Amino acid sequence: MKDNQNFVESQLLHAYLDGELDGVHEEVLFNSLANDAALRGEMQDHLAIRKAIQHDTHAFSPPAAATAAVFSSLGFSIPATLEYGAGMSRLWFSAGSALLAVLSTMLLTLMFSRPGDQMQDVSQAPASQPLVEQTQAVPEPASTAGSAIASEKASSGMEQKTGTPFSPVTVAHSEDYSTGIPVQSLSHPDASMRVRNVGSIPYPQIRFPSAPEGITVYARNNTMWTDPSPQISSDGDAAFRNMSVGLLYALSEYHALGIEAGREAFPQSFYGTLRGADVRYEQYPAVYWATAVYQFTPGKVFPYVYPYFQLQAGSAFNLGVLGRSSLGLAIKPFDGIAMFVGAEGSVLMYKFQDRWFDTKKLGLTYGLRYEF
Amino acid sequence: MQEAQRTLNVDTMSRTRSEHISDLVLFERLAGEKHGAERAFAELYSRHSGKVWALCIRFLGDENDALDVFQDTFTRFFQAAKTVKDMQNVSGYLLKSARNLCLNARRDKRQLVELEDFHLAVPSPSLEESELARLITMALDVIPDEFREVFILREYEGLSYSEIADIVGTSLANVKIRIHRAKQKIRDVLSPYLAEFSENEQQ
Repeated sequence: MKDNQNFVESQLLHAYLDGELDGVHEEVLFNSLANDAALRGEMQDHLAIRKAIQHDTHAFSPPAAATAAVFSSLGFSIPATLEYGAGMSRLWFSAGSALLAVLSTMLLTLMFSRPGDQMQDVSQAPASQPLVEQTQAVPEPASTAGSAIASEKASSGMEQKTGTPFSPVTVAHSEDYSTGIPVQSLSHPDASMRVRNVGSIPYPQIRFPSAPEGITVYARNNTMWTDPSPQISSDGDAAFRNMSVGLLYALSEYHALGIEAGREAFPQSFYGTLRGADVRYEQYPAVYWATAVYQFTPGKVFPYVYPYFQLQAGSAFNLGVLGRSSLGLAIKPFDGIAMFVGAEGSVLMYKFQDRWFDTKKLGLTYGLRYEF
Repeated sequence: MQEAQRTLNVDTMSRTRSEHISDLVLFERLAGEKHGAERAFAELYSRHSGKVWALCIRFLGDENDALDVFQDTFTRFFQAAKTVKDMQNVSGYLLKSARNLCLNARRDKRQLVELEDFHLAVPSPSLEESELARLITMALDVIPDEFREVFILREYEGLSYSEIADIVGTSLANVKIRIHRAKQKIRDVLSPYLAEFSENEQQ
């Protein structure tokens, strides 16, 4: 009799916990709970089980292999939103974007500045030599470049014939006896600076933030022929595909070590068994990768031309291990900046159902780098 | 459970442009042109794969077996779009299909762990929630299929008794009894650990 009563109360308890108990039976259950410690213990146990299941997140996340198997069996590519580790991918995407933005800013700055032009502050001019002063009327300089132009014109004795109103500026001619280079000094309430005349119009130059000597940053792209050849289209999201950024630190004149990270599409064709039958899988995901880099540069072979050899080892996230090597030429028309082009081979090795497979790539790589 | 499931669905849906399209409309698109079918399938997969995977992995235990059934479920589901004309409930269809395939797989490969072995196989438990979840998974492996399936559908999928009755193909009264027995069996298997868990919780 007692067992039967316990059974009924237990049934009521389960129905209540599952939201399936009507109001009439709820009151009966609450009375039982109030008087029966064993029933309360049972309720605590079931609540603990339910709580543990709610935190069992592993159960609700299909592994990458399951998603890949489903989509490849239907001949579909895996959407970016379903790619395993999408959170980590977004992190890499943000970091890569930030690094590319910095590189772009540096390159643009280089394009709009000219090597060799130097600005010098008045405080750096030799003060021991007296200046022979002339007074001429020249336009009021609106900027540093304006000051320079004004002083050029003033030094060549040109008179301003424009109708633009301007205030008088005192131009002092002197000789820098230490170097023999003529130096002009402007003395104006609003423009006190000295310009070293090197026969050209000096541009304002923005200095790069200082970095430890021997650091090189670069960005590059790859054009590849692959084995296996892809039979299906790659992931639809093409942002930064086959592009990478890297950082090198020169250990000596010839050797450098660093890191590189990027995004690249790797076609995969591999075999497995599905319910006893041999199955061929195909997929073409665009994944993020990161490697350690070793670079050997033997030195200049032609003017501006520096050959290099590069070895890399690392991993393509959620896929497998990645090795790359490249042989190429870096062309340095200016100090610091270099364009490079080379041949590159890479191998991606991955495991499926305890068997190893690989994807090989061979092709061209090209990019820009800046050496601090 | 329902709350967790709802959160999961909202999270996955918010990342797609198809979030406002119902399951049934997407299902119809599966039979259409390839590009549209691919996109519709991707959206349906993102909505339901978690639930289907939970059923497969917790019912079968072994990840390789679960992977086979999971893949088979979605492959058949896609193919069904060309033949099934009166789809009413995509989620229910997927779960019913996965459940049937799980039962077939289980029948083909029956490897029940004896209750005595279960206790020996479990390491000295440090009863955190994740540990308890792992123990529940192992406990599921030692109870009969008819109880395991209703327990998973109720506790992992958050389905109502009538929805479970529809998927399992039995009466509501039978489902109530099975769920009750399933929970009692799981509790019996875990009782030594639950006692320790309660003590840790109180501390």
